[in-house]
Amino acid sequence: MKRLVLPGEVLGTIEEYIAGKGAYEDGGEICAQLVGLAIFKNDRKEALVEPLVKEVAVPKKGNFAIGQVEGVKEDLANVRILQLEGKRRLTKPFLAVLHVSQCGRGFVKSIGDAIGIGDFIRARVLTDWPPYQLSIAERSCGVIYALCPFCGKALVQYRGGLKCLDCGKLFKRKVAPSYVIKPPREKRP
Amino acid sequence: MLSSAPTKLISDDGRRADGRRLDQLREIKMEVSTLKNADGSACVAYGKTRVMVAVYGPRELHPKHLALPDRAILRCRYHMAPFSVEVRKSPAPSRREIELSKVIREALEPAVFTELYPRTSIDVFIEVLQADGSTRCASITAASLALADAGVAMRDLVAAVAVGKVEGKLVLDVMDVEDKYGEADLPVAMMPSKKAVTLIQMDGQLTFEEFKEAFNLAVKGCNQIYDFQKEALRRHFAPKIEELEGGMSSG
Repeated sequence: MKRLVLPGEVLGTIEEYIAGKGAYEDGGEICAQLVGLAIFKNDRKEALVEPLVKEVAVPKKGNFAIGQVEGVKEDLANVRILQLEGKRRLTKPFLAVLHVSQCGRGFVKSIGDAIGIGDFIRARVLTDWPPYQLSIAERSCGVIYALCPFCGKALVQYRGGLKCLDCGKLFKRKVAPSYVIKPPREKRP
Repeated sequence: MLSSAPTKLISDDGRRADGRRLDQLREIKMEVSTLKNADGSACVAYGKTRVMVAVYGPRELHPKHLALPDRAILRCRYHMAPFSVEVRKSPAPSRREIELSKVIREALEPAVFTELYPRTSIDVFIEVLQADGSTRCASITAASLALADAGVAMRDLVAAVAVGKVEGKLVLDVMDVEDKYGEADLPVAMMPSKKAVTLIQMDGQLTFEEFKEAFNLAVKGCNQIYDFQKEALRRHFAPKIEELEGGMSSG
């Protein structure tokens, strides 16, 4: 049976355990930092607290983020992080940057070949500190939703890029597999 | 119609204006997660004093030049609703509210692990819905509950209560009429399990012996309030544990 612990509650002593995530050491005792369930890992002699509320939404290295491209310069894009996967809703967005060298596995000549202003992207966070740096080089990352900059209609995935079905224009993008609008199936004659 | 000063604040049989004993708290009610849009929230009532607190963050700080490279900043806004007192209060922040915001921030800061969230801000919004004395103490109690609800790492919960001197006697948890017509007021906030005081103020005059006695009474009151805080959190999170345990057994 797991035990509910509250901030300040004693989990054990430093002779018994080391303080894991959600716990801290104070005057020879291991105490809880959060409201959660106390977990004792006897193989590692670790006492930790599994929080009962969703984790605080601060970007950390390795997190996946959903963001919107705010501005594109020659080799750098400003991205507004709107959501961190697995964490709770953000009440205020975090600002981050995406460098052209992080836009693909190979050489990307211009950042405009990977993303455009207003695109929603899924990216990995590379740093723990602001300005948060992002990467969409991974296969699972890239543009997940975009609108046509000419007519404003939603773009659909088309041969490794994006296409506007309304005005027929094609756009170079680094598209994520999770792009929300898949191309319509072609009718067989 | 404004209430007038009562002729006697403590009766001959040692009861106060509302029938309490000298060392008795008012009826305390606490509720956690009362607001949907906040990261953490709490509603606390000390008798007729009612306070609602919302916590947002840790989140990006604007203006950015205020950000600290090694820790989060805690921002508090204590505000009394215009309808919280007998005579309408202007909704603009008064000198007293600005001062209390600072005092409450300093009472909460020792309890929060700000170093875990560098360059961010934790915003605490305190709204006094109904004021009947000890609003700063109710605010501190509610804010620490809301911070815990928001998942902010804390050393301990902060519990606060005020002790007053009324007609020469020390009373626990002063209400408005005792605060106005009493001789002294001693609000104390502490982290009970750490035995650490985070706020102590004094208004009026107490002798050294009275101060010691008043402080011990405040510690006793804080411990009682701490029990209410723990109970409120356990009550709120108990269904989640049952849900988890149910999921584990069915899975």
